Amino acid sequence: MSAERGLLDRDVVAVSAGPDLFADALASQGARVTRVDWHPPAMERELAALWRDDVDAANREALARLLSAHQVLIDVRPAIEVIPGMARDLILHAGPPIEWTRMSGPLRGALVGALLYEGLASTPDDAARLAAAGGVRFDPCHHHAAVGPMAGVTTASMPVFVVENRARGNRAYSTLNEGLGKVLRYGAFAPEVIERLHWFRDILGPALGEAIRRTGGVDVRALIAQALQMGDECHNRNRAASALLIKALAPHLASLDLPPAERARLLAFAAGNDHFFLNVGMAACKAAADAAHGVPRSSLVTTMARNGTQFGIRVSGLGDRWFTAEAQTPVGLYFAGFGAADANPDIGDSAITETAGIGGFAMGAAPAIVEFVGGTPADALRSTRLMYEITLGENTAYRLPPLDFRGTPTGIDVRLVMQTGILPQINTGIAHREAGIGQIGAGLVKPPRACFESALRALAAERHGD
Amino acid sequence: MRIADETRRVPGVSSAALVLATAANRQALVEAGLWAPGAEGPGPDDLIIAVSAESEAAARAGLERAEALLATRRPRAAPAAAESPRSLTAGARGAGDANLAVVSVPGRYAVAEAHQALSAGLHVFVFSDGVDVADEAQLKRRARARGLLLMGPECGTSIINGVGVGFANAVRRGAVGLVGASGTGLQEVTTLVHRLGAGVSHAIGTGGRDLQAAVGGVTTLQALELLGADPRTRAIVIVSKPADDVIAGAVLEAASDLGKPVVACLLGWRGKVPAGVRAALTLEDAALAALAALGMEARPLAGPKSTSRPRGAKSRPSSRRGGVHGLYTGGTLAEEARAVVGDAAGRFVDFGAPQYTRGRPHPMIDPELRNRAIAATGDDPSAAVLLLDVVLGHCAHPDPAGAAAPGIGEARARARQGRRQLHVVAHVVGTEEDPQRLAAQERTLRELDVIVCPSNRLAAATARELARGRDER
Repeated sequence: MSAERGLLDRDVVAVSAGPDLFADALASQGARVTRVDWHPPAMERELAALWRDDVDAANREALARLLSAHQVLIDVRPAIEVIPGMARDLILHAGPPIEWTRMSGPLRGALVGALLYEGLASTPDDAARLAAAGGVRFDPCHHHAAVGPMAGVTTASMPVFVVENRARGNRAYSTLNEGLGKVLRYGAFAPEVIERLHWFRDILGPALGEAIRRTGGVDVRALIAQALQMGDECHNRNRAASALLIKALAPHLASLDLPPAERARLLAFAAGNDHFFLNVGMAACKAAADAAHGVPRSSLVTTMARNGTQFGIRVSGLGDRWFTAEAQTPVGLYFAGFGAADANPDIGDSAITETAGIGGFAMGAAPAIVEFVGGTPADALRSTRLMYEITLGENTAYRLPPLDFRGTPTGIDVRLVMQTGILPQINTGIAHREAGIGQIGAGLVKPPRACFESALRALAAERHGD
Repeated sequence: MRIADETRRVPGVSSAALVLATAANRQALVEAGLWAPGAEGPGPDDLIIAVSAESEAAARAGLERAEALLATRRPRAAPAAAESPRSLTAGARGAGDANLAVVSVPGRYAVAEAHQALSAGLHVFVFSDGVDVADEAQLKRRARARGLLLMGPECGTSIINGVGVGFANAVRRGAVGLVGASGTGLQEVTTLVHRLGAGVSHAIGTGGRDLQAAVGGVTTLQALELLGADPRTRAIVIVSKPADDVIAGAVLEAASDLGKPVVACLLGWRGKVPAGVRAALTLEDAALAALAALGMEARPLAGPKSTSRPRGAKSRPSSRRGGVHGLYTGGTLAEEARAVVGDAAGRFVDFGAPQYTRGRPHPMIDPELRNRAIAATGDDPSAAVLLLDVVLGHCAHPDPAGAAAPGIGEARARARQGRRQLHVVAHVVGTEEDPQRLAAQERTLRELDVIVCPSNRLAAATARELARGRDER
């Protein structure tokens, strides 16, 4: 028997769940006591089965892998060369698996654009027919160590950022960000969209790849840490991170053997895109989340992603199973001329940022965009503080100046979500429900509770299966 | 965007935008139908307020609203109040050095909370009842494997390092360490130790089922080991309700190996007691034996003054045979009293038992249910003596004697109506240091003509004698 320490040899410091009577009595005797604002959880039997040593140990391991990730941007390569399982007839998309008939407007639009871009179809109608007839295969980015914002559509010839997690050697991938306006990720497929993607493939991608290789690798973890102290939360605001990335690459881009006009165009493109960094950050988050995935018994969430129809999560200890429910429509502010009636349900892999402890979880770092969370910097801090309730730890790399440099809340625990009823806070862009119109606003969204309910049930069932 | 959003809510306004007049933003306005293509005007440092509305009046109202909002400064946010944690996990993390979780949520949730507390590395005090015994055994085995102590479920009392947890009394710190599967049993012994002049190091509640076979005495054995190693503790008292014979034997065996004097008060235990363990038959006896073990001379507890014993009361023909009715808030106190009263025992009720506490507060907090039963005793011809416990301490009613007064008065009135005499005997479990003050509570009872005794055993014995005395007359 081990010796029970810390009880009789110490003053009582209590945490109380239940009526105030007990906490009051302790306080009246001069003992320190913390009162839990306790509400009865829904699924108490499953929770009782999962607050156990094996789950705790698995979560410690998964969290350690998540926190120790050290991501470095090492290259830009065509998807077909680097993404595991990539093929000419395979198109990756955001969120959980979905068939053509159930896809939302923006996702269909992006797939049509992708088929036009790859030359697999010559007109939008051809492309739609081909997609509907099963002439190409669709698969989630998440099944291929990749992530993409909004529609997340990734095809064989698209250049992708390659981010390596130096702690475990795994890599993750994401496309290049197209900027705002008419872009493929919001379902646009006009000729200018396709033209830009060709320029990515032929000029921007190879140039970025060469510049990145010349840097010897850009430390993305350090870059995100800096950006969080410069007002980004690295999901809805990437202004500082983009500037830092361009600053790191500019000397090498300037020295590339390119016609001056092309060099100017690509620097202007990068400088003009406030979300230039977003996809790099997402790949870095994916590299950390993948490292934490696959620890048996762990209740740590390693994926939150949406395909415009459904929201899906995956959990470290539950293999490749998705736990899905109908995606909700974000609540937010709209660009001129648009309103909530135009909004598509939640879409994109970008919730990987919250999964890894930034984005909405680092809202307190980004006072410039606090209007999305209700208006004041105090609201933003409250929003971040609330996320500590559902996370297993605090980030060791990403720290928040307004919270005395406390690490961001990191590592969503399915148990804590169901215990507290608090859902993860996700910052997001809002897509128009029709293909091709693009981003119409930005705001907040929460995952459906049902995703976490079914994951909790599955975790409990696995334990009982022994 | 926030101002645009609010401007859009002005009646008649269909669309609104407030943007800096950069080229990109002007293009966006053109696409939204809010700006004429090629129109001259503002430069990139200028703010454009664009409104599209069904009438000029509505458009003007929109522009005015936008300008008013621009001119308004946001009210300063109130300083964020420290928000309470929403789980034991977060509470433990926030406190940093927390070492004890107190769980008093409804029973069906208590198992998950207790397991969560163990995951957070906390010792746990579970007050909640209604927990399955198999869950209790699992919780305790897990706690032991983690080097943690799980007190409960249905743990009424502990005193850890001078701090009472749950229903506990303010007692002097001292050298007597206690472990008990009975909450009120621990309260009785700790207060008697105090009243006899000694003090308490720790009192560890285990929950009422700890010494049952299904649980196996896990917490009791851990607690004995802790008290054995605790430098402040020089004598140990074990208090329990009826226990499983095998488990009780194992506990006594372990107790005899601690190298410290041990007093065991296992109510209903008929087995042998190993050398080095002193058996006590009553809670009072346990307290006296603990003092003896410390080498202290106990001031004897005085019985009620003989003058307060009603003598010569004429027997009424309507109460040919009278018994002692015990209406208790403490289960162990009720059991002990019934055993002492023996043949004279009439109706005995423990209002702290689960069937009386389901969906309502414990009778130590809410006197309502017992008061009704007390009043009804006045109608019962079989009741010659009413025997009560009055429990003081943290978490208990702020004035339990006063709270019992209406019931006692009503019982007496009804007995008078039935031309019967009803004696009332009570014991107050508490100390002068308790928030309710022992002397004041006893005085309240005496003013009601209640015979007040300094221990539960003495109260029961006094009640028995009163009942017999009447029979003999």
